Amino acid sequence: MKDDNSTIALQELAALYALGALCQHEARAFENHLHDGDGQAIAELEAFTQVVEALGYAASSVEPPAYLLDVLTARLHKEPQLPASVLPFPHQLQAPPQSLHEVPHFPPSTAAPMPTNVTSFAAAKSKSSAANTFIPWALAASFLIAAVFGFWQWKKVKDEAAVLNSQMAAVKKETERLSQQLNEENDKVFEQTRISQALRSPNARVVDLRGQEIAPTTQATIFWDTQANQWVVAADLQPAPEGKVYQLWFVTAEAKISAGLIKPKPSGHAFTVISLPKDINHLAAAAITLEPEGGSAQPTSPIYTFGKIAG
Amino acid sequence: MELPLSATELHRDHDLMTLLLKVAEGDQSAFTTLYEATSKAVFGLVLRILNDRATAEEVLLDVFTQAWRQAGNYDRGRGTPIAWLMTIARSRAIDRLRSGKHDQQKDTLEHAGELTAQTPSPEDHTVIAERQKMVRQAIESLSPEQKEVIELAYYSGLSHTEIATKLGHPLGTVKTRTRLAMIKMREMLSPIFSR
Repeated sequence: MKDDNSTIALQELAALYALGALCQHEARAFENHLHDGDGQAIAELEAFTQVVEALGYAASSVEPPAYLLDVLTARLHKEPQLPASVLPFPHQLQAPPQSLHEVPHFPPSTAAPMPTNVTSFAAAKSKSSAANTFIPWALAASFLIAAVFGFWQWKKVKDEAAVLNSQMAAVKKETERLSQQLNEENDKVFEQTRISQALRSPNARVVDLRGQEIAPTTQATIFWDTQANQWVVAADLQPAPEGKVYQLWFVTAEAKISAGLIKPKPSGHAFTVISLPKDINHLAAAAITLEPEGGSAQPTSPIYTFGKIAG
Repeated sequence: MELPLSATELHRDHDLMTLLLKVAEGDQSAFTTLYEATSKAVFGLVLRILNDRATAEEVLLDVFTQAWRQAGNYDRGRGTPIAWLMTIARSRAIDRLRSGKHDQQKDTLEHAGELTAQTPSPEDHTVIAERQKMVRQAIESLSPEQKEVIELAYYSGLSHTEIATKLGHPLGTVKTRTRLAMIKMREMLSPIFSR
């Protein structure tokens, strides 16, 4: 059974988590706690999740426009429940080839009609003449058929090659995306592991750093691993401007001592582990400033995030 | 104080679950019935979060398209169908809100009751209307300060540090108000949860 303070802290975390109001690293730390199988935490979260689900009812019902159902129905017809990765095969991308019967007919003969009272010679000559007239046309037609068929074959191969190239490009792009996602997931796992390790250390401490006037939306949390004498720092900052870098400071009553540089990802999230110097005592606070590339010996800019360390 | 839950509500949940099972099997007729039964509540929530009718309509389409695709993943042990839809709707709307460009409505949870009184809907006698009434009563039981933090977290999707910054209150105060508000509502809404 937890004491009252622990229960209150647990309820606060569960309530904020259910509302989606914890910062990213706090949410991950709480998820780790749930994975450790804390029954009370799981029960509190389930109850608060139900409250959040019910909150949707507080909004007044509003009739959506009638046409939306038609749009939706049309959308469902167009987007059946198929995996997004299914691509059409090449033969589905083009019309089937025309049969040879559909090749345009040859032009009719332009010779004048023969009179009906002609001699057999004349008739024979006429037949010979007709044959002589037909042969060039037949040859021309054969060449035309061959040309049309050849063009169609060439176009078919070209189209199939284009589709295959397109599919290969899509697969390559997807592979790159998955690789990047895997790297990000690995980073998250590492971060969660280090935060959990810090929280499990005896007398573990958590220091919240809040955004100051110059950057009110920034924030950071220091998980103080007392066993390893390290600070595990998770921060959500704005991307640093060109030529600048964030710097973390140990603040004592006498001095501000550089704790190291913080380089956020393009998303603004940063994670770092800092070893505390053995000779540092009576830490009063921690602060983050924006410094020139390479860092400074002493802070040269206003404080971006700041958190006091209870004695 | 606990609020009563009628047997009709339980039947209604059961009906919606049956519809959802049919939707999971690709039944478009069941999908239309599900849409007609729930779209007003879902649209109300999305509109409340975004305060932009055109964007809310787009999000409503996204919500029900997602419901169509994922109906097979619905787990009845994790909540009622309408709660499942509301969760998808809030998530989609907050995502759209965070992508920027949308000013939110100025009224808060405090005005939820007034809004109902001013705009009675044909659903007044339905189960959804019953639950709306219960949730609004639970919200009315909160102090104004508690309502404020719940409002900013639920409808604006702000983190507790962002809420503290916005209100100019210490972080601890925000956490305490959130916890007390959630515990109070948990007690008030227990009849809905004891399915």
